[in-house]
Amino acid sequence: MGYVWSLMKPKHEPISFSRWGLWLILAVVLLAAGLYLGREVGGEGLVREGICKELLAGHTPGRQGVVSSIWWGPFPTLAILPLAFLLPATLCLPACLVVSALFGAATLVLLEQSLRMWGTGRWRWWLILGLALNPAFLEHCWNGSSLPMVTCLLVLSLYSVTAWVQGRRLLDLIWFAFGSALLLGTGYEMSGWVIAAVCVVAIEEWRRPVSGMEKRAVLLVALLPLAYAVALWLLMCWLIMGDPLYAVRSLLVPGPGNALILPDLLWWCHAGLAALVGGLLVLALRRHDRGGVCLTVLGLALPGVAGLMAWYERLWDAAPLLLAFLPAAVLALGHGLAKREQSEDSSEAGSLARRPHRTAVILWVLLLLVVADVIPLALSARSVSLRPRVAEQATAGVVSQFSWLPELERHVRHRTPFAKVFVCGFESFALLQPDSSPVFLHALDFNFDKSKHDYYGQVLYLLIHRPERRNAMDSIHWKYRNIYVQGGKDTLYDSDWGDWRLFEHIQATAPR
Amino acid sequence: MSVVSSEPSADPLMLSRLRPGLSARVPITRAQRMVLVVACGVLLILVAWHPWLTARAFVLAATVFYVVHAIYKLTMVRFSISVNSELVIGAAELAAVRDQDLPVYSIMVPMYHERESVKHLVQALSQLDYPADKLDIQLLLEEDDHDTRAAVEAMTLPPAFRVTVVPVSQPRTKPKACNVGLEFARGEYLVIYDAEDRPEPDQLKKAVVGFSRAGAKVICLQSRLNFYNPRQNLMTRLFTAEYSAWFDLSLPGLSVARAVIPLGGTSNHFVTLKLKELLGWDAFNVTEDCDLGIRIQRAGYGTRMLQTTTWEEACSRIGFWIPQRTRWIKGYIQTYLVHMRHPLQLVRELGVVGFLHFQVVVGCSTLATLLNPFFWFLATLWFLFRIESLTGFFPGPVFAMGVTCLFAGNFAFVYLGMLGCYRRRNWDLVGYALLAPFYWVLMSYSGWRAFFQFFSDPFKWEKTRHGLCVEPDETKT
Repeated sequence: MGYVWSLMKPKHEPISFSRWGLWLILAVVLLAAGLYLGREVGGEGLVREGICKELLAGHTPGRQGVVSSIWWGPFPTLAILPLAFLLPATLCLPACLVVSALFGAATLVLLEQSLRMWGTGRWRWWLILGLALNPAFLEHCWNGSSLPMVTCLLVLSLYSVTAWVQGRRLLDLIWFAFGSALLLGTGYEMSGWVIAAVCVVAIEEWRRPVSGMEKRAVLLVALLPLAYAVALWLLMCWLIMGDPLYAVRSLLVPGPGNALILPDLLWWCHAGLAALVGGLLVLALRRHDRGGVCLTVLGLALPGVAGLMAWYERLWDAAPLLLAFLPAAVLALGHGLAKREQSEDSSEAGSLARRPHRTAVILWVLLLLVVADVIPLALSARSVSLRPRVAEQATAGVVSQFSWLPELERHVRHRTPFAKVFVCGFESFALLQPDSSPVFLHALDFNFDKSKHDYYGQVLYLLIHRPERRNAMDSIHWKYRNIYVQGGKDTLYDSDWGDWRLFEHIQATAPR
Repeated sequence: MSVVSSEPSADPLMLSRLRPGLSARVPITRAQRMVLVVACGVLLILVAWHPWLTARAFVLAATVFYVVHAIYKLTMVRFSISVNSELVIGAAELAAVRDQDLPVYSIMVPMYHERESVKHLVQALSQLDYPADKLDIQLLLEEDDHDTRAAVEAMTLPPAFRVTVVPVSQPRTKPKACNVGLEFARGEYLVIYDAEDRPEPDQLKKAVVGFSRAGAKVICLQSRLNFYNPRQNLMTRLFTAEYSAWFDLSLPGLSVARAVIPLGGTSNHFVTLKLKELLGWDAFNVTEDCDLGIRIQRAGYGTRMLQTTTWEEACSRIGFWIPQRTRWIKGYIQTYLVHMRHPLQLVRELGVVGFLHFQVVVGCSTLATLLNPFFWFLATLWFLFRIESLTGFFPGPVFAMGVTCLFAGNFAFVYLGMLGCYRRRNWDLVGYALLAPFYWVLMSYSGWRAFFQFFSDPFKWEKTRHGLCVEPDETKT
């Protein structure tokens, strides 16, 4: 009979109630700690909250905000959306904070579960602690960032693909398929890694001595969610933006000379980790451990992809990729330790060989705590000035408007009460609320001719954020290059408002 | 071979006589008709009074329904991959079973115009790994089905076989024939097979071990069904994907959740005495299997899934497939209305959770096939013509839920079909599962056909034509 239960039936239940309980408790602890320490919603969290509000209000900018840029992947916004709808406003708790804490906790729980199933033993707790105490990781769990989602999905994908290579269980293949598809939807940074992972699965399948039909079936099951996610994104872009490739236009058009912001020390810190994972790769190759090879290769792909993207100036910040490398390294080390322990158990000299192994673990934990934790701590203190000002002005509970916004409104109304200000780019979601003054309009896809036609005879303004980091990839900057510095053909510089610059949109035709 | 004619004492309509409240003899009661009329009246008034608001409320309710239905189905799939989702009987356990310890097992095969299937059926049942002297195989033949009777008479049947002739009477349904056979069943356990079925040889032994392991409360074991002709044409490929997902990924989940299990029409193994206690099948219900599954649960008993497969012939022609599906959906409507005659009593018997399971498993799956065309139409209108006024039906949260259902929910169901084929190692069918949406259109067409037929001809049994497949696919083994 052509029916194999072992394809799907795990020996252990992958997720039990105790894991769910642990996850929820950890999430609550993370959230409570963040609130107690007075952490605030970061720039990304504010933007995504804003998109959710617009989406729930049924406004077009909300839909545009979900799909229009590869730099703002849709999945984190969609993950926040149900909570943004359900969380009562009286709780004054931004949904993005809750979601970050939930995914941060899920990362730790998934790591624990993966290492336990591999048989890493009690050392796994030390390894997990190394990540859980990392200030950079914690900071992202506390500020509503999408990085915890990235780490969670990465751990899920990495564990699943390794388990698939080792055991050929259909369930692992499914988890990998959905993990990688969602990972692609979290943002541009992970797309390179997803491609690498797909290549690894394809090569692994190509090497198997099975029929072509079976290979095709495996690849179809593994890649369909990914292909569907891409197709859906293109479709949504076509429906909402009118151009299926709108989200990736910023990559096709030469960038505005966006500089990579990455402290040098962070490179060195992760170079050490990469060397360690490289060593594990060599060990796995010597042991003919295909799962270990797959895991370490995909782990090393993270800094590799970061390097490649930085080389081609297509990375505004390598920190997410490199921070995602931490849990990958923890997984790789845990897997290596488990394999070592299994080989020791089967050998007579096991007890003697344990000593250097323990020393290695302790060294690793020290490395994580000192190198990967303390240095980012110092760096994060240094980089405070780099954080978007919007985060400094937001309170933990209520996403406030900029204090200068009413003044700006008075400024434009001073000339005419019918003025309109197009606030360009994703930062507009942090700046404006659904109930903001009707003077201000979101403009994710600003077009001079269309605005002239739609608001014929009115005085129009453009408010453009400084093109730095992710903001430099907003459509206003790739459609009208250097507009912030030089202005456009129909624009006239008006004034500066913080990081924003106000231009007047000159109309050739006199008002009726 | 012995031929038995049904005696007057064998009352095939016993359920409808003794427990009329549980029979579909009256398809819709007066109270239900009243409720339906009042509901339609209220709806018409609302539409006339405030059509826009009513439409929005309808869309909201339907969207919530879709979300709940999708989450429920995916949860069942998650349950189905848990360790104890079904009874797995290992080879060692089977080997330890001694022939002398095995009980007498009754097999009933209702046949009507199945002349071409007789030979294959006898061959398949003769291959069962069960002591011949403990088999009690009844071929249930209709009195006026001269072709099949002649075909059977022309054969030399093995000793375990006997023929029971079912006298001509209304209604002309399969459950009525089964009730006649049940009267004459001698076995401790009993199983129903269709004429074209090919059960795995060790299925009966597995069922015996399964019953002994499952406990006294479990009186029914449902085997998995799949097809031996999946590659005959596109229709059979899609049908196989659907069956694989239903029997391999959904029903085991229902079993884990201790939910009501709508039994498949064949390969249901029963404890004979308990089945008699339940008065057998409802002769007026055109999906008597689904109805019996609910009644088992209502009586405080249980059903479990048994890990063994019976291979059937997939209907390969749309012209036959649509009447078959119409009958199934019509039977679900019948079953739903029969058991919802006294909702409070149903809650008492099934419990609140069981009641909700019943609503989703029997009610929602039928409703979904009826509702789908509306939303496909709306989606097509919007995609093709971008009618902006349609967006007014979907305010923010409703839009988000609707989009999730449209894109994530539908994809999940297509993907489940693929996984079903994958688990069956039907590698080449995995890709065909992508065409499932076209299959859903046929289902919805059948759904509406069933809806109208329920009112016009509730007891009409549209017989599925078998024997269209010349040779089974080699991939079965």
